[in-house]
Amino acid sequence: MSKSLSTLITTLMIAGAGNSFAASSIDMSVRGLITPSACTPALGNGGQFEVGKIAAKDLKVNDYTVLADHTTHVSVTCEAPTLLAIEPKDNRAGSEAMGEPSYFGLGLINGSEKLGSLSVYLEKVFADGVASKATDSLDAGATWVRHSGLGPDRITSVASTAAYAPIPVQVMDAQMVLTPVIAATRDLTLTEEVPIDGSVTLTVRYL
Amino acid sequence: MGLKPALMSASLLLGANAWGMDECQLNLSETRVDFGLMNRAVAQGAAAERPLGERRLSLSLNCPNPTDLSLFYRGLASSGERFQFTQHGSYSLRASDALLDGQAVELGLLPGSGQPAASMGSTLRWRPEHGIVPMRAGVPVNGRSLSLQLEVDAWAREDALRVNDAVTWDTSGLFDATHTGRSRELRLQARFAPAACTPSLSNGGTVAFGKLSVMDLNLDKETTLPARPLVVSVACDAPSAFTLRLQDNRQGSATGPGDDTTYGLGLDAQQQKVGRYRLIFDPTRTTADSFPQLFRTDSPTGAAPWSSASASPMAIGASRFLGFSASAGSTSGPEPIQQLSATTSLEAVIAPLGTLDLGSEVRLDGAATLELNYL
Amino acid sequence: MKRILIPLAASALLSGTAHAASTVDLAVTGLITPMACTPALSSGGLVDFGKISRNDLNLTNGTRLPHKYLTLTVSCNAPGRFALRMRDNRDGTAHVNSEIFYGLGLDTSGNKIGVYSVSFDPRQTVVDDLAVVYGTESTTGGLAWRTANLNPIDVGSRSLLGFTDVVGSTAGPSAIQTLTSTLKLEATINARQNLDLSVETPMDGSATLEVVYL
Repeated sequence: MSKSLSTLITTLMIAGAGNSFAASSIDMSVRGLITPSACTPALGNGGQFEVGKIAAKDLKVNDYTVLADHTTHVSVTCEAPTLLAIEPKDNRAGSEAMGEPSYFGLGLINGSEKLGSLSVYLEKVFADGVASKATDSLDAGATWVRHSGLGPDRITSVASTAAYAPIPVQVMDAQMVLTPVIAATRDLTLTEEVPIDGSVTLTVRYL
Repeated sequence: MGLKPALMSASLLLGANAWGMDECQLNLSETRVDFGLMNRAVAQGAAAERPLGERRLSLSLNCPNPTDLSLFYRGLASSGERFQFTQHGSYSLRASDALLDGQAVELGLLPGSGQPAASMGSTLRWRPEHGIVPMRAGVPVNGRSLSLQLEVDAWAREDALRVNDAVTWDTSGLFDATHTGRSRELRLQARFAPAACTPSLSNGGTVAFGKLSVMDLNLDKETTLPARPLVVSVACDAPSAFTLRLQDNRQGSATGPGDDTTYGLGLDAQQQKVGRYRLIFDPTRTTADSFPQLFRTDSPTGAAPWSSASASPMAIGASRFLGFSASAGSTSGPEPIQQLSATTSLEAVIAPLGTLDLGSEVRLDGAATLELNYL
Repeated sequence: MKRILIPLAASALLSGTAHAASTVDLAVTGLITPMACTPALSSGGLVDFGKISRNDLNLTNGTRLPHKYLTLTVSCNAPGRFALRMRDNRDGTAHVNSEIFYGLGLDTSGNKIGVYSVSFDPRQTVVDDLAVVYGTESTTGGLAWRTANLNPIDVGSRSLLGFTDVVGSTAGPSAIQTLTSTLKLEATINARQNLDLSVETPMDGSATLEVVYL
């Protein structure tokens, strides 16, 4: 398990009622957290983004509709320079409508219709105050390529402008741009209100 | 005076001849052949009969004067070659190493007294209704003394070994030296015992819940106690098919809707039922011999029809017979097992405290008897 | 003289004792007692080591964490004899196998994170209004108890731990109504080279301390 942030509400595990058969026993818990080097991620606005209400008639019938971008801020602060990567997880896996492996889903209507996609991109990346670039790996960190966005199919780190290999960073911050896209409405049942329900969990992974 | 002595000697000679035939002796080195105790071990192969072994004895027939020493053996035939050893078995006789007056001879097989020999050899299978006679150069010969070695082999049919009680086979035949008027009985015995299986329980068969505080028990509803493991082991001296049942020695004291699988925990001072328990067998926590997996099967009668062998847990009962099979879905019933080890789960439930008389000591007092029956 | 002989019929005899079913007896025993003892732990029973940087862990040996203390009180409705035992709810995750070691869970690759033990010190234990108490243990479920003394005792999953006011006693715990004891918890993390610490790794120990009525 790693420290993670969700773009929606994170559920907390409430300490259980105990494993005791009866009142003649009491539970003891021993907790702690071994952290590789205590990097704490943070998302602007607590990771919640409200797209607002969109009338179905304002959406294209036979083509996808790109909604307005949402720009926010992501940062990772560590106790010491650390080689790290951001690993996203699509909590709406299987609902991505464009067939793009690097996009996230926006949920399903009636359990089967894919509402659309969410693309996420990092720009204006700074590593310890130095302008840098984001870099992506599609093979869990074996090789690094030019950054094209955060996706469920890759991990993203920070590199110098000169090369693609990740560099250790103590404070990383970047602008994060979210672009929701709705699928052609001819494929969707929009007779009732449909929630646009994207949920992505970003996890800091230590390289 | 010259004639009288000749007459006297002639009569003396005649007397000696008549007296000689009654003086023949027929002896056996053993008059009782015991094939020992067989137990109900499952046969290794698919043979229809099991050899019980081989025994040897020697026979001697001695006469004062040269006589026809042919010998018959009287015994019930089981086939052309063998004799009956009860309806469930057979034995054969083989004669060899014949010596007539100290010299090796061949033996001829006689289909009847006075008949010509049907076959000949230095070793002869003694067939029912047949006799043997010493022969030289293809011709029967008389003599004074005959000795031979006899080999007795016995067999039991496979179904004969499946006994539920100890059984003894006891049969006899008669060696009859027809021309001498002498005979001698040979007695054959074999004993069969079923394999014995001994069931045992871990911790001496006691599941001790110790002291349970009233604080830990529900007032208005039953309390289910944490399940306790109990290992049921069965050790047999040979693979045996068996079933298990559990009889309640606290009959009538189980709380709840009673069924065949619930057992009582006794009564309190006011004759209220303290609780109940069940003993659950789980084929996935049961091992036997070298079977990779076990399945449980049961029947209300201890005989067919057997339920389809399943891997799901089952509570043991007082009237259903529970057994184990190595084949999923089998309806052939329990398979022979030599060592069984089953980790069972004892699940106990205490009656609502409100129904019990807590003014006096309330004991959990379950007592049951695990019973193993052979198939 | 020829005699006519009748072949003797083969006969079989049934003999021996009937092969009766084999049996063995099962007994279920217990006693419902009005005695009731309620244990309680300070801090809700939670011992939290907070964040531990992986760089602070030894590479090739286990790392001992700072000792932590908890207060246990056992309050009974009347003086009675009881003992204590602790069950590991993370059984199988202790990297050292022993009755007195409790697990801290597994890391992301299934390695055992570490162990902890909890010790009772008779010198840090107050029973009713006694000046001194002595600790004793039984490995036989209460049938036999070792000589009571002042040595600290690690609580275990199978052995029973108790207190008596008689030094040197082998009769087990004496009747107690209230017990208060300061417990010491010692935890050791597995050698870093045995663990996968590429992600944040929570330590997750959980045990249940139970009162066993004697």
